[in-house]
Amino acid sequence: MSDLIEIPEAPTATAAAVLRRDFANLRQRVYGHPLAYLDNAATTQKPDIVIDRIHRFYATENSNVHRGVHYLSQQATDAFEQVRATVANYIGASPSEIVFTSGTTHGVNMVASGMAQRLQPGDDVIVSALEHHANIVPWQIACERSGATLRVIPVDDGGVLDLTAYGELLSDRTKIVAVGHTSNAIGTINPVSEISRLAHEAGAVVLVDAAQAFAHGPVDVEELGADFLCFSGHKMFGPTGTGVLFGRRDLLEALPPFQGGGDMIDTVSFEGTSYADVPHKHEAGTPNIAGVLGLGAAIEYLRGLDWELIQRHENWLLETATEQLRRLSGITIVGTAPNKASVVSFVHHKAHPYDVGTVLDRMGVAVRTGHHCAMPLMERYSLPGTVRASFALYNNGADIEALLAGMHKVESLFS
Amino acid sequence: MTAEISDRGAEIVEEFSLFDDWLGRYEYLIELGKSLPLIDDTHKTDSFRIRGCQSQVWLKPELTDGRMFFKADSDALITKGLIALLVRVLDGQSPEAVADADLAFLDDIGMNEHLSPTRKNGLSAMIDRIRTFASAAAATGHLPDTPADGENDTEAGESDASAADGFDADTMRDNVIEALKLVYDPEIPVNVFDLGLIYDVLVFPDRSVKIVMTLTTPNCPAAGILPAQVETRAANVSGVSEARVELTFDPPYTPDRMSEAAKLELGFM
Repeated sequence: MSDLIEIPEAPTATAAAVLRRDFANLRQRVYGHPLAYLDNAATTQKPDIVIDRIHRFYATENSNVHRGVHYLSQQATDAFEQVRATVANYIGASPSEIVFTSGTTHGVNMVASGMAQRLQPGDDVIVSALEHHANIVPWQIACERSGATLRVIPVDDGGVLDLTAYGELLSDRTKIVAVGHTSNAIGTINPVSEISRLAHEAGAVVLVDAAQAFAHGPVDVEELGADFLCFSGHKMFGPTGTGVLFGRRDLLEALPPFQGGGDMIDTVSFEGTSYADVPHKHEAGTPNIAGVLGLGAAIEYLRGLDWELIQRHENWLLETATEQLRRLSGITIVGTAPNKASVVSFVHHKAHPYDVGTVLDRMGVAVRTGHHCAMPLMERYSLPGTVRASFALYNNGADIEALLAGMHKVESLFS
Repeated sequence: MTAEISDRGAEIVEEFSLFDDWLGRYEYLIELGKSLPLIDDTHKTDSFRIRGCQSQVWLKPELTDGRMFFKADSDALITKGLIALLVRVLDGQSPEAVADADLAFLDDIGMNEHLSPTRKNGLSAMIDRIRTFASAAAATGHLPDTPADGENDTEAGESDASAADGFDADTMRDNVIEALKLVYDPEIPVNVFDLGLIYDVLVFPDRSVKIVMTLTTPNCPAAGILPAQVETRAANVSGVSEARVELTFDPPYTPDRMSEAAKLELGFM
């Protein structure tokens, strides 16, 4: 076949092949082709130990947490609270600073909704032009409600935030800086520590949207200078419908609860209710117990990985895919930041992203197409959207070959 | 006499059966897409646009001597190819035939995956809109008002829905919009129309009104009462026989849908 590009094997190929075996869902064919799963920024696959953990809970442990005095409920509560400790330990926080959520979007909304009660006209909220809608819209709503003003850190042509402009936006009016750790749309890794340092100098609180960070390496809240940090279980090999809001203890205590209900109260009477201590004040209702246990298993999985090796492997994937795509005619890569996660966003000169995605799908290649819930960023580059190939630790040279073969086909069909 | 829709569909199925793999079928679709006459740019307005999450579609229906004709376009070629097939099957048919058209041929040529609403290419919404236009035309002999888009965009359009039976659809639509301006979001001091929550107000010749609206977020608990309020306000407008609300989250709400007045009110400008 003339359109088959063979690329040399990755130096890390053996290790990646071993890890790939942990993910049963990758062993399937789509339209007769081996699945090349390159949509990891949307959601990662789940290793067997995560799936088994969820199954085990429902099969042998199922009961509610924090309520029953009976044996099963105590077991479930212990296991559930153990995950809180595991998460805290993994990100350098204490268990009382870990709130379980349904995902990053939920966490950002909890903070934005609470902050909206404190913000006033004349206050500023700063986000960046790279943000996912989940870290834009809650702040727009908070600003609408409070009369505060939303300000945006601009991004350059390569997808790097303009820190000089950021410095000029900061003032004593700045109350919160909400910034993404890694751009879902184009992969830029932001200098979060520096952004936090400057924000703190101005007296602002920092929220980090770390949804795209955890699949690519460990995250330390102290190192980042995060006052709040949100992430999703399903983007780090865990289950959907799980997530974490980390908040500095004093801030979580000051944050009004987002939802009322059971499990978050101290005493309730019709005259008034006093809330439970953090983090439970922020966890009204029965939580996603099985999901949280699955999230715990995912973090155990992450902890057992050699991240130095995985980052070498992901860099190889990023560099090889970028270089090979550049060699094909008619392709422009969007987002060329020097510090980038293994995400390649690109456009074809003739084919619309939807057309490209449709052809790639037929060839067994799963990519995301469209605006990636980052419409302001797409507008910045005057694009209707891009095709995004996002890699994870289990991807390999064959996946890149499948992508290249697909783009060859696109070129011959549309040019 | 025009060929039956089912015959034209069968013809297409036969053409596609000549290709033995997906590649041939897509090549053919892409060629069809390229050859579909472009919709006139003056008609590529918000009034005729159907937004998908991924690709966009423009559709302009026409009614001539009791037959329907369609001009349509898309920014994605595969979507455009599929539109070309639809136009080929439906052009020149009676409104009744279009409203009840059996489009199973799309399944038979293996293109049903493009019709799922979750594909968000705008195609499934386009078919819905074709059927809405056709049903109205079948009932009354003329096309309904071109629906307004979120931004009070009333330019262009086939506004011949007036007169005949003594009511003016434009006026009724304006009255409904005035009524909707009395409904406020419980959280935000701006009415639902200026907030941009109303995507479409359609006035039908039987004097019924359909309002397509969204909420600021799908799980906004306080806004759960809004659709009922909108329905009641619209139904109370003089002359309206019935008001229905259709809730949609596609496209999702963004604050740039707000009117200038609302932006001013909320300090966005």
